[in-house]
Amino acid sequence: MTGTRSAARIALLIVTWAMRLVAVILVIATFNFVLVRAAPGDPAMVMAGQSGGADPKILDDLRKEYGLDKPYLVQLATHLGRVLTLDLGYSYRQRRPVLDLILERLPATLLLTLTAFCLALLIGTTLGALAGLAAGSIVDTLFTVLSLLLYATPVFWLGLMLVLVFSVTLGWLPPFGYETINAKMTAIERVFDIAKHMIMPVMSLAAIYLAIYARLMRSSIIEVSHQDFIKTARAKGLAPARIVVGHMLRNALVPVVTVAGMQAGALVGGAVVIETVFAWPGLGRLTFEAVLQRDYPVLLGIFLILSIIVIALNLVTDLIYRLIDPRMTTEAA
Amino acid sequence: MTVSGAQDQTSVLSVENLSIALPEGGDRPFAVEQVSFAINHNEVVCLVGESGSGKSMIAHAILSLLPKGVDIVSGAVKVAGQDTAALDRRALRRLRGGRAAMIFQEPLSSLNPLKRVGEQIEETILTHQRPAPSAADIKARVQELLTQVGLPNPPQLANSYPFELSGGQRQRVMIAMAMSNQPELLIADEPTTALDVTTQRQILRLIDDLRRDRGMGVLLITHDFGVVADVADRVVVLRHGKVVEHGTVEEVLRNPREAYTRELIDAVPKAHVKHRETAAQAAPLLDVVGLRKTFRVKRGWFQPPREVVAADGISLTLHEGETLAVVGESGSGKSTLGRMVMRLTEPDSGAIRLGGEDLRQLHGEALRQARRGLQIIFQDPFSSLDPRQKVGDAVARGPMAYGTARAEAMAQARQLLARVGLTPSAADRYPHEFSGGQRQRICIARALALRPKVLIADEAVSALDVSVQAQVLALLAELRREMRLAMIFITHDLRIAAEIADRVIVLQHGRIVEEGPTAAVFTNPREAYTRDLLDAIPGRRFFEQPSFARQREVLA
Amino acid sequence: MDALRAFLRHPSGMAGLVLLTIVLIVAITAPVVFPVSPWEMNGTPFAPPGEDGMWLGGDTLGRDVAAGVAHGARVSLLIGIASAFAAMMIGVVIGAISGYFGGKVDLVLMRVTEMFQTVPAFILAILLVATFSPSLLTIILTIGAVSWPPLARLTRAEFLRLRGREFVEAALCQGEGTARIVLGHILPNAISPILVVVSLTVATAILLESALSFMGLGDPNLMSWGFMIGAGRTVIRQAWWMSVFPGLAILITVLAINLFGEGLSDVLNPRVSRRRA
Repeated sequence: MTGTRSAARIALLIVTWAMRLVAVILVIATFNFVLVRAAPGDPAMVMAGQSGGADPKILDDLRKEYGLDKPYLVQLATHLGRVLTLDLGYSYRQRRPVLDLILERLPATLLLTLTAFCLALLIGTTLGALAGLAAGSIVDTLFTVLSLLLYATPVFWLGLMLVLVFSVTLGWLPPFGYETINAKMTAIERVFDIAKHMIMPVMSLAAIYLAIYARLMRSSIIEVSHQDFIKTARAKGLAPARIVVGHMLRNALVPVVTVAGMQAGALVGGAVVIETVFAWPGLGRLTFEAVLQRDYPVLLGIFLILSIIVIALNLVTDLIYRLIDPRMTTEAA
Repeated sequence: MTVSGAQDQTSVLSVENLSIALPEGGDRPFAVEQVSFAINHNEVVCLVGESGSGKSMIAHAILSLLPKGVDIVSGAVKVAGQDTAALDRRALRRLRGGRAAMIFQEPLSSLNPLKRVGEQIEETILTHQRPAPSAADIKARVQELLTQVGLPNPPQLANSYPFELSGGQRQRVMIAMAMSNQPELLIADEPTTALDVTTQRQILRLIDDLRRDRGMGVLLITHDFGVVADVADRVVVLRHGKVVEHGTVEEVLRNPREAYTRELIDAVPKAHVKHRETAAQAAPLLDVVGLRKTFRVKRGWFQPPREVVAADGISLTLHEGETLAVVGESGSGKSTLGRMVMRLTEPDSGAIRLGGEDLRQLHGEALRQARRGLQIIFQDPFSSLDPRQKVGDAVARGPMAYGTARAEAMAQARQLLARVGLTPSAADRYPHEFSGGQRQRICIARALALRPKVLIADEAVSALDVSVQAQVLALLAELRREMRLAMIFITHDLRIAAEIADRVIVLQHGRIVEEGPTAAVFTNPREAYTRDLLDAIPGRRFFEQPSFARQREVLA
Repeated sequence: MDALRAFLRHPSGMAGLVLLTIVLIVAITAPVVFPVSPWEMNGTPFAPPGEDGMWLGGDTLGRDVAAGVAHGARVSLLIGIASAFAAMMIGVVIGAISGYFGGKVDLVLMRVTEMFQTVPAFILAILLVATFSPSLLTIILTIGAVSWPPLARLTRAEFLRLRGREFVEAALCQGEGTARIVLGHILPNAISPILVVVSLTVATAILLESALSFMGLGDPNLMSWGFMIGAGRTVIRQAWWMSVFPGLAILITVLAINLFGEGLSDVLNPRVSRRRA
């Protein structure tokens, strides 16, 4: 496959992805629209924050702004138009536009989620590969036991246990927050400070997915080792290390990358809970607050943005997949 | 040269009293028992046997590629005088792909699907050549090898991935890889079984040419005596892990000493054409007119869909009691044709008239009723039967679906099972308890339960061992005569077509290339493609040599 | 049956079954062993484990943690099984229709499934429960509504695979109708992998429910494990037992289900199972 052909394929991939992104945004926006109207109670009250506490004037303004007296299709069209221009509404509880609230918290969530994703993928696949190559040994059994335990652990509980051990008992790590407040620090010190605060949240989030990827990689490596072309490689006289690195790894990664893509949604969901546990100032924490306050516009906005993050992660895994496996192109359609 | 193969210094391969044990729980303790033979330079020795004979094990044992749990327990395998089991790891790796090279049966799965073909060949060279040649040298060598194995446009081919090549091309790449370090011994484990018959011929010829050019010893594993007749100098016949007979090809094929060898040779379909009386031409039972089918595979939004023409206006007729063979290579559309007649695949256009009624115009209940007249037997005996259904039920289901009472249907089922050579008590067992040949018999019973007028056999014997094949074909011939069945036999093996068919249709890319009475097509083919197919029949020349035929008649 | 016998010999599967049985026993006997409602504040607040007759300690309001864990088992198992059942109903039907009929129907249904798999399930669950007020029913329906896509995918894959198998085509040629073929041939062969995934879905349902309760979106009338952990979060320094024990309970239950499910998978699909090298 020549350079231009694969470049064209990547371009095609991105275009299809962009179209998918727009489609998902529209669908979610429509879903949000329907949900608000399906919720028990007056849509205006729902938008204002269900538990009342909104005076009639604000409700009236809301009604006019959202055109709640106009026919549904018109409302839907306006709503979709708004969403596509990134107008996600207004939070009456916090008295700020939703988009602002979200953008403020987004970087922290991205930092947490992406770090956890990368760590889980890198460490998970490495450990899984090693376990698969040492299949049947004590190391492998240990690995299986550990990954089974991690896999069954609730993410938020793992976070709490880490806090219990490393903060409460040992006092090594700070139990919550993003950085030490009110401390005067240089840029480098600040980076280290944030990193220190990040360790436990990232670890708890990554641990579960690490277990998933590791187990999958392990069975994938074992599967690949039984395939015919590995026999050919041995018949060619290749050294074992060369067989593993040159032939087994890439082929074994294929299903893992696919699953990683599919798990992106769960990872983002896990981030929400972790942020709650560690008071990490990201979208997850915002979600928790919004749930307590029944602040609908914020919840709907977060739903949309997080879905977009998931799709972005999907694009990354898709690209990695195409890099590894050139076959996907014609056959899979 | 003694018959057992001189076990002297010049032997490229020497197998001495080799015994390989299977893990506990296998159907016998030894995969291979006390096998001895030798291969010298510049000769081809074929290891021939049916499935389970242990031939593949021996091939794997040579380069110490046996699976876990399977070990050599006694005897030795020596390549150029060295016992391979005694080599340390380094020396073993030097041997593999160096002095001795191996190629396997399935070229698609034997090549790394994610690596370019050229890289995979380069790897072999890099592993063995010391000092390591420069990058340019290696590339040149790869091109040279690709040319030697007859591949066009080496630069582009070296850059391709395995899935972009055809089966024959992939096998040539495997051979190129094997040749890259000038081996003295080539081990070929069923290298052509998965290939089309014309490609098979080319690959076998390539192997033979390379053998001659380089003076290699070649160990060729096969189950097909036709292949043996074409390429082998000497042959070793295996059964259940033991050597039954060995000798030169002339000796073993002309004068087999053992009953088993004789049985195997007899079982090979000979492409002997019997002259058949052409029956009085009544109205055709099945009349297929102008079937067309194009498969469209979508390839994403911006690429045009890939179109595969499976049928391009196929017409055929079938009379009562007649057998029509549809022959073609893979991709010819022969299977699709069978499926379209059964309406398992919908044709794009055309008519299928059974006894006057056009099946394509029927729907729902009318179609169901008309379906009784047509039954099909598939290729794979393992997926043709529902693993969770008892065999008796499988056979009785058909008549029950058309209103026969259960008791009666079951009784009929038992009778049919007995008729096809199984015991009536088979009706209470599950498919996994039977062998491949037995399962095909069950499928035949199932098809016949509905008393069809037309039976379609879609490569029905291709997955069976050659001796079992002969039995099933004999059974079909009997039943045909008894029940006055009309049969369409779809196959890629012309020898089978010659043996059982009254008329033959040759398909290529969805088109009928040639058709006519079997005798005519086989003795006087009109089209070049038909001639190619006939030439490619393994062992044809050998089995048709007048001396051979005469010899057999005398013995019979 | 062979399958049953094979399972009895499977070490991790049996371990899972044993653990699961223990959990079930705890759940069933909870009203007997802990007759007092776990909401009753009978004990000393912040009592450490062992004190005041409370084996696992007391929470901030003096409620018995052990009672909470035991009664919580009922809640978790109930919600887990009911949600998995709901997911199965939705997922298997969608997957079956998709896989059997193919064509446009398949295309549309697959797009829908993809959409559901793209959005983060947990967030959607939060949204739905928050909208329709947390109650046992809404939680079960919500978890079912976000957990069905993997089941649909699997069912579809199985149906596609089996539909192309020759014994199904043979049945067609023998004159069997669609309903007969689906119920008599395809379903019995597809049921094993589906059952395995359903059992694993129970595990994910329990995890999902506990996360929802942790965030305060559980049924307020039900003492569930997630709720208990959530209640213990802010006082983890003073009363670690409030967070540790309910979490362990979740861990053990989910682990048991996973072991059981994987044992089932190994036994029912020996070809597909993870090889032990």
